[in-house]
Amino acid sequence: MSVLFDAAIFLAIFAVLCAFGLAFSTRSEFGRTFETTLSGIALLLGACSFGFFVCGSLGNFAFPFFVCAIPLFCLAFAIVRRKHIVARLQTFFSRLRDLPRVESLLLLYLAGVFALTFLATLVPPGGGDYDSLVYHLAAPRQYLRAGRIVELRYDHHTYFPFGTEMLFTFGLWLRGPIVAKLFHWLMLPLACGAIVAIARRHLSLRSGLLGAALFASLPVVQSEAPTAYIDLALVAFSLFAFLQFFNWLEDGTDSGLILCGIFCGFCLGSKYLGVLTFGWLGLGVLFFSARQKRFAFKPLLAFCALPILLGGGWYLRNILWTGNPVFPFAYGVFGGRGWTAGMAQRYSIEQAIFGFGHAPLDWLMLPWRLSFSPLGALNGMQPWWPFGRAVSSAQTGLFETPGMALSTILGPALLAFGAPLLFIQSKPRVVNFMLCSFAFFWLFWTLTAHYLRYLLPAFALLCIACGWAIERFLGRSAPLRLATAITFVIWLCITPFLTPYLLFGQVRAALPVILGRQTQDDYLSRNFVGYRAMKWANENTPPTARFAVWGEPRCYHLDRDYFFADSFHNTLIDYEQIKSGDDLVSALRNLRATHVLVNTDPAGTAGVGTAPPQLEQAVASGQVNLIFESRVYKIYALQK
Amino acid sequence: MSPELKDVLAAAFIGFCFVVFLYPAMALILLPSP
Repeated sequence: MSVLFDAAIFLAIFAVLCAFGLAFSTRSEFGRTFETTLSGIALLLGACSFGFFVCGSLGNFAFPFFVCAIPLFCLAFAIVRRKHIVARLQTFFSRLRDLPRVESLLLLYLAGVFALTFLATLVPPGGGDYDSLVYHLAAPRQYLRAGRIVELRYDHHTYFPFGTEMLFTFGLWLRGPIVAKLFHWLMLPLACGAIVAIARRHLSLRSGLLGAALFASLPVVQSEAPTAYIDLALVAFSLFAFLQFFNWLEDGTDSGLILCGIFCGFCLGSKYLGVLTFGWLGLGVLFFSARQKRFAFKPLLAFCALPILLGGGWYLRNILWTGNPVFPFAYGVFGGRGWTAGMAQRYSIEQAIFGFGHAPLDWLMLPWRLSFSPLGALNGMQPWWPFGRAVSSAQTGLFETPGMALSTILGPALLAFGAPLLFIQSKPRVVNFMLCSFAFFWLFWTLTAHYLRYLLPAFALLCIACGWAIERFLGRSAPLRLATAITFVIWLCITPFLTPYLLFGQVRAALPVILGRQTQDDYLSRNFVGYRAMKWANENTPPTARFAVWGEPRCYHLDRDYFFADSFHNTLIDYEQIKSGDDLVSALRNLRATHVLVNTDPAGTAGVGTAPPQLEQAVASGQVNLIFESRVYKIYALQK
Repeated sequence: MSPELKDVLAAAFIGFCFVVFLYPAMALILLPSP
């Protein structure tokens, strides 16, 4: 019952967003209505996120105001334009009925993926939602405890741009983590809609639906959609920025450039990598403006100023807090309070272990390895040497952390359909620009951390180009037509089942909770090893308790004030000065800690870090007392 | 190169990629549930 209530609340939010999007559209033509409705929804989400950030930074999230104001605004907007909305809906459904069979089937497939990922989202975040438990949801929960955005010095992740996390904060405040997760799920339909909108306007509807189906079929996308990560939000906002860029490029509309700037601002506010989208599209604007000798000062100024206004706040906040706009990155350039050269070096090494190596030959074989990972990492299953062996040593051979390798797979589809695309002559300008954009993102990724998720915006662009290629292939001679059709259909059907950790497995795990046969508590006890200890802490320690945590960064379920005490997270404890149990207790008291939570087997439970030996000394001397133990977790209380 | 030969090469490449992936992937499908 309870998770269905979460779903109902979110569907009501979705209805409000759709009403705004429909009322936002001004054109009578079906395609434009579709495009402007989606853009309206994305704009409203981005604007809300920005509003929450401004209010949260000023001292109060003011969620009750937003909850009243936004639906009222949308309702008023919708009432004023009710005839328009009814007409658009009628056109929409009549066009749906008239769709050719291929388009209808692709639409059906997309609806199926959206429905399955929606179902998989209807569970609370377990151990697999790793970063959600560390910071995507954990930091918003701390913000809600404080009533505003506060500096969380214990976790460097909390200095990242938190635009999407603002939506999560709202979801947590309104109902809980499931509604928060559904905001990220919504980015999948929005991203697919943006793919269709780009292709429909500049290529063809079929290309768009093929590209959207291809994107929605990628296992890494399907496994990410039900989590409270933020990568799909960056994908969606990037795609809308590209859509408006193409509209400006092809139709010469100034509004396209202004809207492109707004979406670039939302990209900047979603993730540091959003800088790439803004920078690349900025170069594109300059290049095509110069080529077409078309310089309109005001739209260009808006394109430059709006991203800084809408997304720059996160970077300004970092400058004020740490002195480094991209904390903790670029430490050698900007430095950063609360970070050291040693920590920066360790962080770089952590990022560099992903992938197969950074030698030139490794880079050359990256497309192949990326497409077939993690098969190469599983002993006895590596099918095609020498591509699986890193040229340089000490690499993991994975594009994800080992624990999540089987749920983040790219697969061969983009390589299979993308490589032949390069040999097609006289491609449309939009396709060429998308391939160039992909090459730009790819080059940056190749030279930095080989983390699969970081490429998602680039994959989305490549999917549009591949959708166009697949449509071309389906119109060629029998061998190519058959090979394309058969492999594409098999790929679409098989991806949810590729590993037990992918979509089908996630839905199967969620069904008992959705059907009410399993409580959320029971689900969490089975899916997150630290849940019982944290639940006990929530029920048996005073609300004012403050925990020092070792060995476990996934602290979302710990509904208390806490800080990470491991040395590599922050500089809160100067371990050079900790020689005895007394020193440690003194340091903990200085940090106002009242309790300690320790994961004693981080290696076996996907935790990170370990408690210092001085903790045992403090326990032996009676200054710290063990008060609870569950599985590998121990909770101590500091003697008053 | 004739267009027909190009099509055959493209078809072979597409088929090759999927067969190479799906052959060992079947072993993953058969892994025990988490």
